[in-house]
This record gives sequence, C-alpha cells and structure tokens, in this order.
Amino acid sequence: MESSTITLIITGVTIVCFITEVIPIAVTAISSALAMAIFGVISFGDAFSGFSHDVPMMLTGACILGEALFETGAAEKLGEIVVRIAGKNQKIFTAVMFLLSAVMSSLLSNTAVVAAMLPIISAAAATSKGKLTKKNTFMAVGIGANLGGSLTLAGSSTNMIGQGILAEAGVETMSFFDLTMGSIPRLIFCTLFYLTVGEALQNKVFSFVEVSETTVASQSETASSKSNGRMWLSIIILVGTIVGFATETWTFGTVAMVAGVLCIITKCISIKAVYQRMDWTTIWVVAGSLGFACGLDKSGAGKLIADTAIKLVGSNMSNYTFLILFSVLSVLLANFMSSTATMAMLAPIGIFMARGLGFDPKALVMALVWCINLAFATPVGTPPITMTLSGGYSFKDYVKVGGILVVCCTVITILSYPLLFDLK
Amino acid sequence: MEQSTVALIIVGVALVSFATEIIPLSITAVGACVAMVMTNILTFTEAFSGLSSPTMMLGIGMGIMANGMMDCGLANKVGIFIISKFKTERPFMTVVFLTSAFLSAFLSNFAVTATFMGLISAIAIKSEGRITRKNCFFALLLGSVLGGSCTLVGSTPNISVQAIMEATPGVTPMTFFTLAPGGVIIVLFTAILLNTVYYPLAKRFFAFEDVPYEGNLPEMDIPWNRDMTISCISMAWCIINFVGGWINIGITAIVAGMITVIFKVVDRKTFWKGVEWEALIIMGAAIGFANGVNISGAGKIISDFIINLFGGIDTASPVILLTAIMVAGTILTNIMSNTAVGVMLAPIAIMTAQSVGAKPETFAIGVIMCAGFSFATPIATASATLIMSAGYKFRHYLIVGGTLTVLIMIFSCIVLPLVYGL
Repeated sequence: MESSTITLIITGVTIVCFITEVIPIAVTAISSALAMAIFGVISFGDAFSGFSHDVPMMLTGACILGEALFETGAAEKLGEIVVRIAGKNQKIFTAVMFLLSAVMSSLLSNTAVVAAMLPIISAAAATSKGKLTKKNTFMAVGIGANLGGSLTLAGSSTNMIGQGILAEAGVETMSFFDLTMGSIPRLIFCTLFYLTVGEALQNKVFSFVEVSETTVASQSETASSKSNGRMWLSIIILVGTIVGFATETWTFGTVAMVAGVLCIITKCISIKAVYQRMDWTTIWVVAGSLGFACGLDKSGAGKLIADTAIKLVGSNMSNYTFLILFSVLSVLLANFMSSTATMAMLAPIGIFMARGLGFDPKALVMALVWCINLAFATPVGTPPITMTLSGGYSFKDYVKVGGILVVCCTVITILSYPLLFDLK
Repeated sequence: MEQSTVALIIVGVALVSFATEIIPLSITAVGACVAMVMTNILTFTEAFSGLSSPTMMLGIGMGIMANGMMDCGLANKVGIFIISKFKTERPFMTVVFLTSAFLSAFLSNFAVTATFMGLISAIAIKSEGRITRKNCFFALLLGSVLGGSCTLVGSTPNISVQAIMEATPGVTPMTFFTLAPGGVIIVLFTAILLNTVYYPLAKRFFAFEDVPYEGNLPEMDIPWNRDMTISCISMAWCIINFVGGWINIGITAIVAGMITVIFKVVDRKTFWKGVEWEALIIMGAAIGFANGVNISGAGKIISDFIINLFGGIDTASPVILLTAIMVAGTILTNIMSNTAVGVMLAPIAIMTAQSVGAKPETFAIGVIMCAGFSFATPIATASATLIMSAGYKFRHYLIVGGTLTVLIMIFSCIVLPLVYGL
C-alpha cells in the first residue's frame, strides 16, 4: 500500500478515537505517531521527535512556573491584580483576555503568549472565588492567540513561511500590515461572541467540573506565610520568563526550562510536587501530535487531499471559487496538520495555479494565512490550542465551541474577499 | 571565554551538585543541558535529543507496563507462587533472592523490595519461627539490587549510562539484554555466596530479636484475573521483540505500555504516574553533562590522571584500570545515589578505555554493575533504607553487606573482562 493511503487510514482512525474518546486523547496522540512509525511512514526519530521538541519543553517549564506561583502565594497577588483590572464579570473577563492574547500574539509568538497567560489566568480564577473559571477562559486565550497570529506579518511562523514562498516565486511580497484588514472583522466577531452568547454556550458545553487549584491554593497559604521572599522570587522568575519570551535570545523551550529549573533550585516548588502536578496529558498530546503531523506531511497524504479537492472542482474556476477552495482546504488541513506544514504544502500549489488563472499570488497567500490561523476546531491543530487542554477540555469541546467559531470566521473571511481583493 | 572553560565550569558545578544532591539529580542534569544551550555549546536539539531517544520511550513504556503488573497483583502472585513452596530458611532465602532478582530485572527495584517484604513477612509469621525476616530481608535487598543490573531497564543507572553511550562517538550502545550475561553470572555467584558466606555471617551478626511486622499483610491467595492475562501478553510481546530485535525497542515498549492503558490494566487517567520520571529525565538530560565532560577536557584530565596513577598510557593495564574505576564506583554508590554514580563515572570510564585502547563498552558496563553494589550502608539506595524495618543497624550493613560487596566486586572485576572482552 502507498504510504499516503496508510496515513489516511491512520488519520481516520485517529480522528474517530479523538472524537469518541474511547481511549484517552494522550494515548490516541501517542498511538497515532506510533502507528506511523510501525507502518514505516516515518522513522522512529521523526515519530517521537516531539518529546524533545521546543514546544513540550516550553510547556513543561511554563507548567512548573505556574505551579510555583501558586505554591509561593504569588498567584494570589497576581490574581488579585488581574481581577482588579479586568473585573469579576466572566463575560468581560473572557473577552478582555481574548483580545489581550490576540494583540500580544500579533507581535510575539502565539505559543509563548499562551504559555505566559495561562498561569496568570489560573491565578485570577483561583482568587475570584468561583466567579471566574479557567474553563470559560482558557480556550478563548488559545483562540485569541491563533487569530492574533494573522494580524501582522510577524504574528506567526506560518506568515513568514508564506512570505518566504512568495519571495522565492519572485512575486510581490506582503508588507507588515497587509494582513491586518482581513483579520479585524473576525476579531470583532469573536469578541462579540464572548460578550454575548459565548458564556451561555460554554457553560452548556463545558459541563465537566472545573479543574481547581483549591488544594494547591490552601497549601500556598502556609507556604506564603513562611516565606515572602520566595513569592517575590517566583514573580521575578515570571517576569524574566516573559522578557525572555519577548526578546527571543534563546528558544522558548530554553527560556521556560531555565524558569522551571530556577523555581526548583530556589525551592519555590519541590520536585515531588512538580512530578505530581505536571500536566502530562497536554505534554503527551503535544508530543504525539507533532509526530502525527510530521507523518501527514511526509507521507504525502496532505498533498493527496489537496490534489483530490482541486480535481473535484475542476480547472475552469473563477477567481472567487479558487480562493474559496483554498480557504476551505487550508482550514480543514490546518486543524490536523501543523500550520507551517500546511502553508509550505498549499502555497506553492496555489501560487502555481494562481499564475495560470492570472490571479494575484499575494492575495492567495494572504487568504491562506488567514485561514490557516483558524486551527482551533480540534485541540491538536496548533500548539497554542493544545496547551489550553490543561483547562480540562475534551476533544469534543473544541469541536463544538471552537468549531462553531472556525465555521463563522471562515465564512466571514470568505465574505470579505470581494472587499479586500480585486477578484475580476 | 573559551568554550572549554565554560564547559569546565558547568561540569564542575554539576559534579558538586550530583555528589551532594542539594538539588534533585534530574534538575542538575536539566540545568547542565540548559546552561550548555544558553552558552551555545550545544544546540537545543542536541541537548535534549535524549528525551526523544528509543531509551526514553523504552523507559516510559516499560514503566507503564510494570505499573500494570504491580497493580493487578501479578508480581505478588508470581512471588507467592514461587517462594511459598519452600519451608526451611536457607532454601527459602535463596529462592527469595533469585525470584526478586528475576523480577527486578524488569520491574522497579524499590517496588520489588516493597512487595517482597510483605510476602516474606506473611510467610515468616506462619512459619512458627523457622523463617525469620532479619535473615531473608537482606537477601531480598541483594536480589532486587543485583537483579536490576541484568537488563537495560532493570535499574536507573543503566539507562543513564546507555544515554551517555549513545551520545559518545565510537561506543556501541547496549541492546536490551547486553547486560544479562554479566548480570546473571554475578547473581548466580551471589546465590552461592549467600549459602556459604552470608548465612553463617547473618546467624552470627543479626543477633537481635526478629522485629514483628507492622502494617497490613498482603493477600496470599490472589485469583487469576483478566488484567494479569493482558500483563502477561504485553510482557511476552516485549521479551519476544527484545530477543528477536525486529522492532525498535522504544516502539516495542510504548506499544506494550499503550496496551496496558487501553485495556485499563492501569488507571487511564493517571497512567503516567507509574513512570519513573526522575530517572528518565536524568537519562534524557545526561547527554548535556556527558558532552560537557568531553568538550571541556575535564574527562581527559581525570582519565589521564587515573591512567598515570597506574603507570602511564603504555604500561597501565586495562584490567587494573577497570578494577580501579569499579572500586571507586562501589565506594561512591554506597554513599551517593546510584544514578549519580552512573552519570558521573560513565564518561570518565569510557574516555579512560578509549585512551588505552580498551573496549569502552566493557568499562561502561563495569560502571553500571558497580553502581548496583549498593548494600554496604543503609543509605546506599532506597531499597536498602526500606529493609531497615527488619531491625538492622548501620554496622550490620557495613559488616555483612560490606563483606559481600568486596567478594562480589572482586569476582566481577575478573568476570566482566572475560564476558565482554577488553
């Protein structure tokens, strides 16, 4: 059998397992990478490279830092400040956090923004005495980071890859704010969503019990009374980490690991507590889906899907149909494959076809950027979304809430094309 | 600053930290890695490549599976099945030793010790004084510690040394059963020692009253259940593949682990709790330290020093060098963590071997073996501390354990070169 066929079968089984959750999603993620390796689609090294990838490291470091903040009592302080600024109204809080994450990730790395925001939100949730919940906010932060990634050219690595492919093709490249106009309507829509029906819908869908830090928080009282110094120390480490994420002198994983190591060395948290509270599920899902995405890319299965779709529509399409086709295709693929791989795969085909149709290649790549950044209908689409799994969501929760938003945003984006581009 | 100077500083700090354990070993190892990345000595991928190596996957997979075997009572059942057949103390003690050695070749040494302590106590109470805990517990310690040196996953130093072997050029890493020939010979030799040297010594020195067992006695009559069947199947799958070598060991172990999770032998929400993360992270990050030792030249300085101590590069005999390293390792492992000894000594041992043209693999295996000779003090390893509940004092470990350590070490120094070559 062709390796692309095998991959498609594995992908199908994986999706079914993810949605039904007959086995825990961490196990599904690892098993999918494992299956790719066993059937020879990718090498062992590729399948498990996720475990030593930068993202899981960053997640681990951020997780340790987050726990340390709670342990030392710093979380309470931070939480109070955040709550004082953003208020205790869940709707407003979610919307503010959503916008904050979007604005920050328009310049910074999406993953780093989420990694830095999640512990602070946990802190706010813990101090709000049940008025604010993590489950109502985490996913919004992940979605915000995703949408914010397409606000500017520097927003995410996907954009840069698209830019690179444009430059390589020798056509006009994007300027820094070219992408902004297309992203704003979607941001406004999602903000309105969170301010209005969002909370009611989320309360209905996220029926699971809030992942609480109450046990940790109660311990932290004793810890904080013991040492005020540690509290400030952990806050300094947090600030240093955020600065490290922003300056990008070292990789995010390195910065986060330094933070984690410092937290343990300075006894802000004990190694025992770290192993106990580490969010292994999320780490496993990240690591596993990196391997899985690698297989989808290397086996040519993604390309097979793209080719089939293009064949189905036929070659005599209008410019608008052409854009819609690539938009829908990229949204579908990006929710399972890595964003960068989707871009690297679709952009060259698209540019080639655009030239044939006499259509502006730059417009196509911009459409791709917008749509690839709509990867939040599953938790495995992109690392910033996967990281929000620590809010306790299951796969279906992403499909329901994230999925609705993805569909709406896709429609909005497609509807805005005639206003943004010359489609004649 | 020169890269080698920076590396030397990192190695120095790491060595002190490994030896004193002021901060957890895993954090020292990760810290060394991170420091190497930040000073551009290693790239991020190089420094953390150990975390996605087959050995890591082996550790995770086997950890989950082993946890399943404990949870479903299979380990207990095997233990009871074998040891309850023996009614007098000397054969009983020997069988306890052999069974615990066999099990701890695959399961965690500590878990085996804890399980068997319960089983022995239950049998000792029924034996009306014919079987005493004080005589058997020490044999159990020997079995669980020495058995751990028989396979790649048997004990924590093994995988750390393996990671270092993988990272050092010119060294062939071990397969799953590379350690088995040497390990099994040492176990069998110790079985003889137990009957000849240990038993009279124990009778003489363990003169205190047998301490009654506190706590719940384990269930002695466990019915066979479905989980046990699944555990057996996944264990068989692992061993067949490890012996045959058709599929990558990492994949084999992860498959076994996933089977135990999917069939709910272990709790599906918390299955990763059974994995010995501390050991695995030390393993994954050991490469950072090992590279530091090589790049900084610290390894070269120390190994040259050792070689010169024994007559210089032309006259120093490999056998004597190996013996010297093993003596040092044996002393260190009784006061330090076994894993720390493995991580610290392995790069030096490999470099020494390469300098004099001996087989570095044999030296690395020597380090693993001597890191397992940890029964001459109660703080040598967690299992050694655990058996103190039988009433032993520090001097009992030193006299009885110490005597055995010396004999076993001399024997290994002769046998290892014969088995693995120089």
